[in-house]
Amino acid sequence: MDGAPTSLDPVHASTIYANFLVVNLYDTLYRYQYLARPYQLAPNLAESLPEVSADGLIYTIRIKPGVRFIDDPSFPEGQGRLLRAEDFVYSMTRHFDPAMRSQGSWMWQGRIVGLDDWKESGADYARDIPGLRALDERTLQIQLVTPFPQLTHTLAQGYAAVVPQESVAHYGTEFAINPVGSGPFKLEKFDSTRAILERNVFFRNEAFNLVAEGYIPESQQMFGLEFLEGQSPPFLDRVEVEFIAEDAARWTTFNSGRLDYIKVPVSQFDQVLSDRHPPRLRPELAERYHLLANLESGFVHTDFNMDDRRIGHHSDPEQNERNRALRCAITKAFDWPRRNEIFYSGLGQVFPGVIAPITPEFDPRQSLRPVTRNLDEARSLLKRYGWSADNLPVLEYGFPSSVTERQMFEQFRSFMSDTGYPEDKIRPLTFASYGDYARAYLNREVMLITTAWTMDYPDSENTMQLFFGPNASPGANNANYRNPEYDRLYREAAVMPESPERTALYRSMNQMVIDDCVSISGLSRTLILLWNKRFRMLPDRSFVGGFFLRFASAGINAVAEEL
Amino acid sequence: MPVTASKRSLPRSLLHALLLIIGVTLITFMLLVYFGPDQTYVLIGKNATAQQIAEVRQELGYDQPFLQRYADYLKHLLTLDLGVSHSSGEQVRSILTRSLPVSLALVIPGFILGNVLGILLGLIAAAQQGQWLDRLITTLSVSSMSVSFLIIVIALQVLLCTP
Repeated sequence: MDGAPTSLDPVHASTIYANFLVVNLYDTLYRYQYLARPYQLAPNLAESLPEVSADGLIYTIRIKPGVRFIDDPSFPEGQGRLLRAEDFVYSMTRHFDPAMRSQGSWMWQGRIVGLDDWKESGADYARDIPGLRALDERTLQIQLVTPFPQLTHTLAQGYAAVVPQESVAHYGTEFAINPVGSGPFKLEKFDSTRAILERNVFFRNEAFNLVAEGYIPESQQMFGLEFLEGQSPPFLDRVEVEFIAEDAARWTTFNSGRLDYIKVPVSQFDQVLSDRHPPRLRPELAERYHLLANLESGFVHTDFNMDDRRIGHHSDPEQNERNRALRCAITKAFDWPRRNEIFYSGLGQVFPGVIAPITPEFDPRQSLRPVTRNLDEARSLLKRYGWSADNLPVLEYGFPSSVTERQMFEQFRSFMSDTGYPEDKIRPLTFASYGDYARAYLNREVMLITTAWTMDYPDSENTMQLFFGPNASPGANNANYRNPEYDRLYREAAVMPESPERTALYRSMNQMVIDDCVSISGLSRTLILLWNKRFRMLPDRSFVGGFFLRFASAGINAVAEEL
Repeated sequence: MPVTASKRSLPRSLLHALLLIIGVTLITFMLLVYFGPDQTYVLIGKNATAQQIAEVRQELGYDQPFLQRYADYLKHLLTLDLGVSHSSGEQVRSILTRSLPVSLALVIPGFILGNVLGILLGLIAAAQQGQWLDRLITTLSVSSMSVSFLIIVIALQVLLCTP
């Protein structure tokens, strides 16, 4: 794996690395079907999809019987006990306990009746929460403040994994490295270099069903998954996950044959692929490895800080319009194909706006004009709105210090200088670490903010929120975009279930972001996954990621090394 | 009976040592507080509110006055309470217990090997002073000391790790 989690506590499962382990060590009520694309929710710990009241406010969920936590010293006599509905109530509630420093509470903040009040009144676990109740040992009920159609998606996140209260109390802060769950694996060893997982012998018996997992024979037959039909996962007894952040070292380790699965570093794409469109493995590698080329569940983009009067919102309508023209000129001068070629090996997908290609709301017929470079238009906009080399503002482009980020900045500067923008007015604003960078842009101190957004679930609400006014910094709206019409549509769409009407609203909002030139966006990167043909599996890095591991198979007693 | 110089200087030396420790820890702590990384923005979630940021800062003790934080730091040092890792929650003492043997296993053989080789080659060079062996050892030593570690690391990686 190309990064290491620092904590395995579900309340800290904010990264793909943490989620990868958390969803294998713990149970979530829901998960995504193993093989279905686009992604479809499936019951995991829950017996079925939730029963939702007609007004969309009450979710009733029944938990499977006989689910058991692993044996652990935190239980009496070290023996795991049955998982109960109240464990889920506790697991959700602790996100709102300030002592837990949850990174996932934002998902449910202001959404569940009484949960925020519980926090405000002192986070006393003995106090009941009206909107989060265990009706009996196996039945849960969640009452929402307003409809939140994405709730079920949030219950598939690592954040929503179920933990036993006594284990949290037993280990204290070290619960983060002593996971006690009911997932398909248990942790044998964990440090900053590797994690070793072993099969959880108490994991429930559930027959693998190709149809229920969304099997697509046309594109998935080659992976040899059919023989698993009817067998109960997990199919591996032991999984070794190596954390190697450095690309060259990771690739060298893979090449030495010590790893069976890897996300190929972009720098190695040319070594691996004989063709890029579509990606095809070199023949010598194709003999031993399967290849999967998938778009990421997110995108990279550069936001303008709309709170910066030099380039963003302005109280003077005329200046406000001039600033918009300046942003649009910058957007028109940005050369996405060149950015794609130099930094993403030409395999990324460029698209206008913020509805990612991997989501069902994406419109493949959308015009690419907003992301097509047009220097004449950029120059013309600058001229028409009275911008000249003398009065153009200094552009401060922020990034955490690294060679690649610096190269991206230099490329940006060269794109802009093609319009006549003076080079000395395009300046880098570097930060020693990502934390320092985040502090600066969350405090609205950075003019141009380049970030990548990894989607939490396959619903564009997750990216639409990035431009919702009330989410301005330190919230996820890094651009600090304020558009009353956008906010009105967001509120209207937020309570709607997936439908063509909601998609139309999302697309209207997307167009506003494009027309107001709030962001230079975007590009979804392509992930190239390689795995040894000994293993029958379909790996996945999108959304929560990691659920596939329980279905990976290499026959009895085989060992998979995961990178 | 006259007080000897050594007896006279002992309390003074202890005082100097104490002041030195306070000075070093104060400067180190000050650098960490004012120029070190701010963990708050690494630890907050995706869509944090100002209140959540304040809560994390409170949990980390960032909201305390500098002198209070320094006093706490000294107290923890004196009681060998190294605290917990902000990111993983693990006791720092546990991390050191786990990591130190690995570091020592790497450092000690290298240290011994380097010193034994150095002394041995030095003796040989001294015994053969001015001869070709002396010049060879001297040239190799100076050139290997002059090459950047970065080059050595890459060269060894290519040499030993490429299949």
